[in-house]
Amino acid sequence: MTTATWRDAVRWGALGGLIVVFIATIGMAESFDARKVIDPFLSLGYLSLLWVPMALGYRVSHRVVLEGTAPTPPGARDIALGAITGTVVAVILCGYILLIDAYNLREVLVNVTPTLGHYLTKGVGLPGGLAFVLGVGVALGAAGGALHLVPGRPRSLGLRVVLWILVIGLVELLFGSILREMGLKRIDSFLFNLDRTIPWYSAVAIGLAVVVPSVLLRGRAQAVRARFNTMPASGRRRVGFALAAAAVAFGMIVPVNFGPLLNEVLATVGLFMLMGLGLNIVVGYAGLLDLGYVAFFAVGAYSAAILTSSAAPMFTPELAFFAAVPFVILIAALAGLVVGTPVIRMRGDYLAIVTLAFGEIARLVFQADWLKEAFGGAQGIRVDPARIRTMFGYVLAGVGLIALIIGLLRWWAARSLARERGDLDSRSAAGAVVAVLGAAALAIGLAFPSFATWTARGIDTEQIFRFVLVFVAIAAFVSWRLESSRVGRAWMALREDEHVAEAMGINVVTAKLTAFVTGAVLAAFGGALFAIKIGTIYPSSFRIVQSIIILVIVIVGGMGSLRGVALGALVLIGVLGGPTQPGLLREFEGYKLLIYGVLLIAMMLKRPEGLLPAARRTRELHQEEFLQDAWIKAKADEMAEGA
Amino acid sequence: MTTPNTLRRILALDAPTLAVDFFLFALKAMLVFIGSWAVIGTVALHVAGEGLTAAAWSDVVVGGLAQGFMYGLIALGYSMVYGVLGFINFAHGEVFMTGSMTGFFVADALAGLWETAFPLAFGIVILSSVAASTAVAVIIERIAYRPLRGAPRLIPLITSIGMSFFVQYAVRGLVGDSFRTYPVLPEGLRDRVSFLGLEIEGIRLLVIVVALASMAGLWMFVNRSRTGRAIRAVSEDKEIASLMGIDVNRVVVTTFAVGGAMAGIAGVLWAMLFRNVYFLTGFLPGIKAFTAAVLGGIGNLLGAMLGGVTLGLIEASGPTLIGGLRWELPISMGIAVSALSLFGVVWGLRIVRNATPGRLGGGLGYVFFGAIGVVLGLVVLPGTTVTIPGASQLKDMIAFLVLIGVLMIRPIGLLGERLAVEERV
Amino acid sequence: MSRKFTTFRPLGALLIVLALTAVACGDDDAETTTTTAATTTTAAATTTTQGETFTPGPLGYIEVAPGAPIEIRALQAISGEVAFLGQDQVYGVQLAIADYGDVLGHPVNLGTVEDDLCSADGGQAGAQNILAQLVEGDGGAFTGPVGVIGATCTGATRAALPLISEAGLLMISGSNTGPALTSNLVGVPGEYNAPGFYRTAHNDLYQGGAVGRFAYDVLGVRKAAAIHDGDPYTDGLATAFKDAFEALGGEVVVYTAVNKGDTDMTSVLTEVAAGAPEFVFFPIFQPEGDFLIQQGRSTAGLEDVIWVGADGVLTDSFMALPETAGMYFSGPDLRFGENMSVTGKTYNDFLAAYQELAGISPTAAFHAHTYDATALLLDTISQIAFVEADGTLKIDRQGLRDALTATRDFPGLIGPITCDRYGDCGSQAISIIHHEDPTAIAASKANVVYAEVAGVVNEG
Repeated sequence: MTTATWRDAVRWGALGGLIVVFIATIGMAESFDARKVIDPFLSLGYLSLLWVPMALGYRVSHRVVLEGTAPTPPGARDIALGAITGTVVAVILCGYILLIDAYNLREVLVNVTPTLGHYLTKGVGLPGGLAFVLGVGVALGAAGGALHLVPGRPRSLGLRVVLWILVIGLVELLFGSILREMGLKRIDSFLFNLDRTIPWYSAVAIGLAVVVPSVLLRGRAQAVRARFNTMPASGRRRVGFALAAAAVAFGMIVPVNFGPLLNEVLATVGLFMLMGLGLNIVVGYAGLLDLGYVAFFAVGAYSAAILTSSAAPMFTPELAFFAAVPFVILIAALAGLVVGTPVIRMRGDYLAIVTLAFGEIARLVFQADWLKEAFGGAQGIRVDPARIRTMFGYVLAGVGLIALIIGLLRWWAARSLARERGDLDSRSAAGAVVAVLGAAALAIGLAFPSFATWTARGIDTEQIFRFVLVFVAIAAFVSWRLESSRVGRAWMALREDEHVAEAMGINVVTAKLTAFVTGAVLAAFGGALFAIKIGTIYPSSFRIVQSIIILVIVIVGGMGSLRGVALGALVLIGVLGGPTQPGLLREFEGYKLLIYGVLLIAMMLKRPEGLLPAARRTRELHQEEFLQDAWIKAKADEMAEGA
Repeated sequence: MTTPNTLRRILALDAPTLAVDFFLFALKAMLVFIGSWAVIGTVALHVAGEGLTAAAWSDVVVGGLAQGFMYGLIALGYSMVYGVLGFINFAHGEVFMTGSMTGFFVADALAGLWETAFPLAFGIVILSSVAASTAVAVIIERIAYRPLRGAPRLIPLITSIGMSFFVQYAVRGLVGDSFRTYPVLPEGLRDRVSFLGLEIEGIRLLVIVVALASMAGLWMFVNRSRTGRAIRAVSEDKEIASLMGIDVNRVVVTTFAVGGAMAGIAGVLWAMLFRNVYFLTGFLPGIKAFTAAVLGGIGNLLGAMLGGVTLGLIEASGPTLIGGLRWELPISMGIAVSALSLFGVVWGLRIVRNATPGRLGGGLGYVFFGAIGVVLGLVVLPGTTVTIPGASQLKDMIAFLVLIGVLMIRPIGLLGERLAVEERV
Repeated sequence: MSRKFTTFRPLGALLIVLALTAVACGDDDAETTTTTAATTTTAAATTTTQGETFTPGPLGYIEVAPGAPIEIRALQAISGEVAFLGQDQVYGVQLAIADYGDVLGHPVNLGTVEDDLCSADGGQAGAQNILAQLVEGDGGAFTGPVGVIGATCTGATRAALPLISEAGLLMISGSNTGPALTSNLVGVPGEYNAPGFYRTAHNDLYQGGAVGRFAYDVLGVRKAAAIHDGDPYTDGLATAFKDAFEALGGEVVVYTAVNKGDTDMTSVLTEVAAGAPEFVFFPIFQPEGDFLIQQGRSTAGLEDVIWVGADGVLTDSFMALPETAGMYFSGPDLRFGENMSVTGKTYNDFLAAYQELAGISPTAAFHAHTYDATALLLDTISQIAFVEADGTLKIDRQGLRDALTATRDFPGLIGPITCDRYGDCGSQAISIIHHEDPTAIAASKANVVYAEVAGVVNEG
């Protein structure tokens, strides 16, 4: 049992002081001030500072519970320690205010504006302002410490209320547009002022809306969860499957009702999800570190643009979208082979640099004046709306139906045979893949039943979103089935130890190339959809940063985990935004990559296995066979101790 | 001449392996072919009196050398960290940038001294830049990498990417996003001086000299000093080194500090040559330096320098050489290509007849591409002109293609890996 | 240097454009005298619409409740590498709103500035954010933004415009210059042209043509080189120059590019030097522009070359480099003199207000264009809006577009603004300055050696 001392409080306070000063110095506080979260009390600028003493005041008396010892009960000590922390933070901030008052630092530090000191004291002015800062610091620190005194349930409820208010306040556009699309214009105009800020009474209303149902429904939610946990594994999987299917179905219906903004965000998230799923196969399954993954995205975008658009510079077959897809797959697969082959015999970081080189080469080829006649050079290519010939749709539906039936039969047969023999089946996977692809084809074919040519325009987010969703679903299913297939197991063997894998009779060459090709095709789907969505493609959309962000999505989400990749894309791209894509928190634009950086470091230090690590990896963790997994487990144990 | 026996062996071979070998060979052959065509073409242009002037070539070589030595200086940091810890420190480019940025503020404050007593001012600027870079490198190690000692290498890699973003945008938040321009260089450095028959701008000469001196110093440090020995020991095997009484943590910190110092020197040199610096200054040079480190053989200090210089020279001269493709190949050259290719065919057949299965694909490649070469040399090439407009746009592409070619032919870089790294995938 | 250099082509182009716009806009009085700020009164608009009944056009109308603000939005690159360009324009928008004051008794609200991130994705998402604020009511009534000022980057506009146009809004850019967004000046609409797009920036074809004519006619150059940096804007401008110069009979011996992020320019300079041009046009940005001129001055074979930059490097930090001495710069004519905007302000008034607002001098060349774009939008609203008895404002969206297209000699800081049917509303005044002394940047900026308006030489 360790108990925090005043020394800890000072140390945490000093850290907090540095954080506050840093946030003020880089201009975050002042530039966020215009953005009111709760009118008229709280702006995002002050919020970016105020959380520090409170969070650290809470953290300072955080208890590390060791087995066999009882934790000290929370008491006045926590409040006192919190207050000390808050005081230290405030004292450092006061010192800073005096410093910037005495010297003009703007020559070097551009964001230390003449008004910053005034702002930090909330306009009180110098001598009184310092007392004000101190007071606020002490109060917030103490309040943070006092949180320990609040019993668990009200505390989490309170936290949830605060979170909801902040979320609604920050993504007000999205929330408003959803409400309006649902015909709840009244609620929209009640919740938000004309300038889209939340008035205080709406904040109260949101709080009530969170607390009341939570209190009323408490028992039931727990009962449902308990029942789910006691289910047998097969049942749980069935429920999981049903939930996923429901989510997809919901996703198909939602855009109709919830407005273009949500679709736009989700479509962008979906594109990154597609690429994340593809890279997950290359990095997560096969362990091949690819830093130039954007090359395949670019290849997909350009091949789709050239094949379908009337504005392509040289070769304009003007195919319908689904007629172009097979060619896109073919070209992407070739690209995968071209990149994959030279790196087969390279390991680790040589692989990383060579793939990075290929990523840059792809961009430079598309950008070159030399090939302007083919790819449009710097001007890029204008992409026409995707045309879908519905005759093709019926053909697709027919083929899909046949594939579905054959696939199901095969799946059933292989599975039952395997059951009888009692060993693992790999052929049933192939059957299932065929069946689902067939079902998807059937669905796509039937979804567009008219005989007229139907066009999906890039600006119609609803159509684009459905497109993306279909492809994400296909990608997710393919990844899921591949994971436990023979190929998938070969990949994982490869990831753990290439030499052992080869000795076990796995064809390393084929396995690596399959990974590259599968990854390339998924990224190319993303590229093709991107081209349709954006309506105009340029080489500068395909920079190294894009590759890095996709890798980050995979790692942060959890390598090898489908749910992880989905969550990673949703959190990073949806909320923060990609390198050239704004996220929901558009105010953070100028500081986006800064926050990205902090998140990445914190994540790798505290939870290196990702947000939702793969189940298979968790299983492997128990074997403690591999350095990597053993280490992650050690980290996880440390976490568990900390919690 | 293929005997039925050979044919059977070819057919029995694992198809993917054969195809892959074949394709790899094609790729290598293509790169080598384009490379030699470019070189032959450039020489021929020269002979015909249409090539660049001697002064222009001197510009190309010196420009490439100056850029290359700076790549080399930065690459040392990548190489040393890789040698000791075995991961790519993506944030190293940002260490370089912070040095350069600090150098700007000091140089700006010393503007008077810069005019009157340049060597003194230069010394102070270099020292402060080195101090800043070293400090940043050590702090990054302490915060972001030390807790991850022993983690699988992907994890510190991601941390370093995060660190890279963080440092870039923290610097942007602190000093803004405008370009900061170093003070004008004194007269002497802007003029050209004659050196070894080359007309060199003073500043480029200074860059090359300072870079060489720093590299020599580092080489002495690593190979002659006690600490250097400890670094080499740790890079061989951390556990054994620590059993031998070496403080591994101190060695790692020293490695980061030394790498940071080199980046700091490079930062000032860079800013003096190219004059301006802003928060993204470190990103591309970082990637290029990483490329240079791999090209030379990662973990190998001499390799990092050689890789840097090679990369710089390729970037400077590559587009000009590719411009040599413009030159029309005369019949005689076509015959020469054909003769070489015929030799390739014979050689390939020999391999196919005698080789182990592993080399069959390569042998077939020789035969196939040799045959294509004969046809090309006799029929197509004479009189062919390929013009590549805007060749300079492709300079990075050429550099990366050379990297890929080198790694395909020699997978451990030009000089090979020196500081040992355990094989982990 | 005088008018004798005027060639037939630009004049012909101008005539065709004028003819087309005249046809498009019916019998608009061609004799309109230059209006001054005072003549555009909001009162006139109010009285003319009172008493009539309001019939909305095909795109519906924006309804502004009594006392509520008129909403306009800005879509600009305010983060990333070109933030200096976008932020500069945001100040222009803010100042125009402040200077114009209330529109028919309603304040004007800019709301949150959307970031176009200088990318297609950014433009599209930004446009979606703006459209999410447009709320449809009954009978074609909308509340929310009337128009968008932006975007900064052509790439962003290309992706945003289809959305904006489709939704019945309009956008006016102060900095997009690519011909693909409007027309090629002889009646062929650009690839990306769509109804509802206007711009107060010039068309690249005018600037490229001006540089070409300056080189060929004034400097007597016959061999030139052009360098871009792989950005659609710089590539477009370099191409416009190449086409104009070659049409005059000159030869572009080297047309090449650098990459963003390049530092060592040896290879490109060697390539340029090998072509032995007399004149190098490099319409690129910083920092590559800095490296190019610094290293170019000392490259063998380029000692006597005339270097010409464009608006991308028309910044103080570039012009302060000693190597820029003797360079020429092309760009929008920035001698605004006593041009008086509809807001009653001159450029000097604007500059003073800018300094006060931003704390720094303008960082790019298009703030005045954006100011005029905003003023033009607000003034056109005040012209066509219908005022109900209770003060409710009804802005017919098709009517607004038509009125903008019909703009003739609108008083702007950049000079009289006239729109053509494709949305080109710039003054089309291009000037080329001679930069003799890097320590006297202001003097250089005033040292205009060649100027054209809409392709016609008016000075030099």
